[in-house]
Amino acid sequence: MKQYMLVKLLIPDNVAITTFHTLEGMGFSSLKKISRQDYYSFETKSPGDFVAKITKVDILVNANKHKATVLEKLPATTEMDGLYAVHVQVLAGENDCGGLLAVLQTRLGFSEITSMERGVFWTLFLDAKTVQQAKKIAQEITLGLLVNEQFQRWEVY
Amino acid sequence: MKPKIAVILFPGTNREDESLRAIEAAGMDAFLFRWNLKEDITPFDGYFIPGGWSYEDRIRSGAIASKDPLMQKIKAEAAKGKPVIGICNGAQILVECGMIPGLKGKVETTCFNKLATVNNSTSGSVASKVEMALAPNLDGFWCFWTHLKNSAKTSRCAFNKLYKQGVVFQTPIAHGEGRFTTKDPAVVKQLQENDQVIFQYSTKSGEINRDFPINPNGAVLNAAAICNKEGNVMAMMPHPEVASFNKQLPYFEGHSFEECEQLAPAHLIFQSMKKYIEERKK
Repeated sequence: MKQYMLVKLLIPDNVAITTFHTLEGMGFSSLKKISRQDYYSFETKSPGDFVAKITKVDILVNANKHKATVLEKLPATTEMDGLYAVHVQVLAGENDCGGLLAVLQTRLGFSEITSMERGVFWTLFLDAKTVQQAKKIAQEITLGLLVNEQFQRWEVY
Repeated sequence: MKPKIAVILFPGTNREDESLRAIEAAGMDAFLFRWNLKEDITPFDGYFIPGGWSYEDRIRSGAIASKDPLMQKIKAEAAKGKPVIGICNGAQILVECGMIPGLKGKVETTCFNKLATVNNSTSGSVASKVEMALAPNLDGFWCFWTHLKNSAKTSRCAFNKLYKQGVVFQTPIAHGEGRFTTKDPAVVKQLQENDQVIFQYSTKSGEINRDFPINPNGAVLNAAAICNKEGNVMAMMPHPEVASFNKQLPYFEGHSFEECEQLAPAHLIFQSMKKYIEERKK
């Protein structure tokens, strides 16, 4: 079974703020807001109380500054307050989770995890006429700044 | 008159002092140029983008600085043939900016130029794809001394004019994201055909070996420094600026004070830069 965990900062996210201002400077005036979450996906063989346990792993979620959400499906583009919230997932081209997975499996007792991936889950709040246009702008933003395709892969949701 | 070099300081740059010293030791005048200065950058004869963590490596190493308007100005000066060297984080910025080895695609990235009409979109600049990346090392962050071989022909670029082909010298590395990589085999072929890989990680005797720690990060072609096609821009991951004097080299013991103060082989990079500028001015 595949499960996704998105980890959001509760304190101001300096990376998202810098990214927003950089994109603004690049001329992406239709971008009104941006947020960023750490992205993890886990393939588990017997979920059991996995959700309750994984959100308490402090190397992934620091309860003092993070909020974790576990999902079975990643959210799709939605319309909110006249803006389209388009999600962009950015992952390393080659899975770089080997060390982290070994720690989870052998030291923290998560023997149910068979594989995992990590990356960044961006949400772009765009002023666009249609969902297609919003996704097109999100793609341009992604290629313009959020990803270097020579070693990363991405997907717009 | 001594050549004037601008040492670029972005928020997070931390190698500027060593860089200033290395430039001065080569007989050039070095000036610290902060990213937010309003002054004109065009009077400088060359540019040095030092290492550090520009913009805290937000998004990716070098990604934010590569979009800074100052980089667009430096890019314009490089197009005139002026030398530009980026070391470590500076190299990451040059690669992210598409100056090393280049860009592909129909639309040239014009950082901060508003191309609102492109693709009939309401958005801004549309990036061409950069040809390379400085991806995370295969084995994480490393800080140690490496051997570099000048694999390119002498004078292939502005920064190897004083190196004989095949010569090996020592330079330290200190990075976690220094693996030159590309998905495009044509780019690798082009780098080889154009002799753009200037320095390669090698053994002490100059053997090119992909094994760790000879190749400390898994870089394609064992590349430690790559120049652009024209040869006036070079991105280099190791730090020659902190290996500029014999006293900085490992195991340099039992020598006189004068010998310790002499310039080390890695410093020929900056002396080459000076020679290149002087030849351009003639």
